[in-house]
Amino acid sequence: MKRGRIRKVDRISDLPLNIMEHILTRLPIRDAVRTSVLSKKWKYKWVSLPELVFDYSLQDALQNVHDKIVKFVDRVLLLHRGPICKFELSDLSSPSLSDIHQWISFLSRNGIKELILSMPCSWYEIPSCLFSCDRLNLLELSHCLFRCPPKFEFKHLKSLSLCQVEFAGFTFEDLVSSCPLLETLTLMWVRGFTNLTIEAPKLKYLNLRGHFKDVHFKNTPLLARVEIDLDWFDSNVDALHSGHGETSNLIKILGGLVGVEDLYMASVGILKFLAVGIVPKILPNAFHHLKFYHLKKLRLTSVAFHDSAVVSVALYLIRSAPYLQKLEISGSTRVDAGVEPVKELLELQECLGCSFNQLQIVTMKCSFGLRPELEFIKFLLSVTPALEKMSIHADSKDDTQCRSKLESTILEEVMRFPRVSSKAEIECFEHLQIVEYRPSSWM
Amino acid sequence: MSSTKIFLKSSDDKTFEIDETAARASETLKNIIDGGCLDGVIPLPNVSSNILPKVIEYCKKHGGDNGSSKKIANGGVDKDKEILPDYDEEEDKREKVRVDELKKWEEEYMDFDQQVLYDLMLAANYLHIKGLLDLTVEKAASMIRGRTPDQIRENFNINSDFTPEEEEEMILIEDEWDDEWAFD
Repeated sequence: MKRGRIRKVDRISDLPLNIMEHILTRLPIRDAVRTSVLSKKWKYKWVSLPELVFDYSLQDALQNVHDKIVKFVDRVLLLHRGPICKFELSDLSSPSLSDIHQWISFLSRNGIKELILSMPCSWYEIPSCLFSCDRLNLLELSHCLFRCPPKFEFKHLKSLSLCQVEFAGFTFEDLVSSCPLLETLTLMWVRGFTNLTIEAPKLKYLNLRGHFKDVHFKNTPLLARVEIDLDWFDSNVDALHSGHGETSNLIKILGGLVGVEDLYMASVGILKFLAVGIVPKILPNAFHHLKFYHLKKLRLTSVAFHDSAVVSVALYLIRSAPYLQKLEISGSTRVDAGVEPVKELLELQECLGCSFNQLQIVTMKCSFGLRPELEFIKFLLSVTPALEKMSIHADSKDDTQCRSKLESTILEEVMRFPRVSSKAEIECFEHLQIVEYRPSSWM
Repeated sequence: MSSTKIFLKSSDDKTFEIDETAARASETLKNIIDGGCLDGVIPLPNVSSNILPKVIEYCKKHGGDNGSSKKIANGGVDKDKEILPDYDEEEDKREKVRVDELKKWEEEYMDFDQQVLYDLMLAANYLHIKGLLDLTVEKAASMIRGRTPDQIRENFNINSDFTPEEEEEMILIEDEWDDEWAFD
């Protein structure tokens, strides 16, 4: 009886403002705005929402029709009261420059802190009023043009993400030097320059993708996580040989990354690029002074195991990181080139007493079971006293019939290799499915 | 971490026991504990004995992490933005198992009627238990998301107090945004 009576009470309409704001923030913008018709109490509840996100949720509601969306955004901004901390426009049919200009101009006077304009179908020029949004903490832009702005500074900007952005009349360096607190930087396929210098004393995280001829880290002492995926030079490594005089690429690029904790090099050519101008066998001792004392996790993609120069750079990276715990490597080629040079190189390492004392987990992805790869695995097992787990992901590409055979072949072979770690487990996967687990002696 | 017992007194003078580690899930209680004003019982004049055990149950589950774990398993938006995205596969796997387990627990935990929802929301707000507030607020949001105004009114017993003229005006405005939607 009591229950029935209570049920009719409207309690939601009288919830404290901050709780109501929590609820409304979780709704797609159109649902939030539409609550104004529920009752008089609700009429103005949404208007002080601090975050306005216009995204894919409007595609259905407004059928992604340009005019309707523009009208909707206009009306929301017109009715809104109070500070707007976050404004996001993404995945919608592209508004005109004048609309964007008007909105940013409005936002710049409302204390905007997070601005996300991500419209893959558009191409527009950033209106200069963006540079007067001086409280910005986070800025994400895509598919637009930066033209020489007036004097500005993003004093509070901590996170910057640029995707398919072009620079004209001023440089990326100009932009970054105006962001003294920058901690997170994502650059995807930016245009207008090919030599990149990153000078950002507070930078902690960097994600770099695109075409660059050269990358130079200058004053980035706090940089802890770096992800690089550049298609520099797949095709014309020769051109690189000539272009990079005497300084080794390795020193030039990695010299600025001594504080890095997590390094991910995802591009096909990067190890080759780093290998330019070095003599494989001497390498490990030649750069003694360059050590990565903070590096705990290293991921290298597309390693050409048959290329001794590339392998020596990989080895160099591992050796220079005395506290490395996790290593993830994937092979790049099915070409079964001669194994001798690599074998020689690895044997030399062993002779030099090389030992990766902290390495605990090794993951070999896209393993094709080729000799040079297996030699590399053999080598790793012989120099990793703390190894806990070696996971090998077999990949015979399109050749599905061979796949299951491949795993057992790899596993059989790898099991025969001597291991210096008594507790090391070895697993071999067919893609993500586990095939066999642990050596039997271990059970 | 010690497992000192803390005593909480509800608005209707009933006392409940909770481990200190669990109590720390509440920012408010954490501040009281850290402030060292812990002599005996902490009175909670805004939380009744009906709802306090439910709050304690949540705190026990989330002991100490204050709901700020990386991925909150409530299907909602995690407001604690991670500046550095994590891409550790091993950790991701473990995290996934943890999140799945938590999701299941939350589903069972959140099975109650609407009055409890409000009380829990208010208690979470008062005690600053972010995870619990997120969870309850998300439940309320899910009852609004994608619904027509009439459905929402019915869900929450909201009385439309607009005059017919006002309603008509609003229909006109709304229609401009979207043809498909209208008052019934």
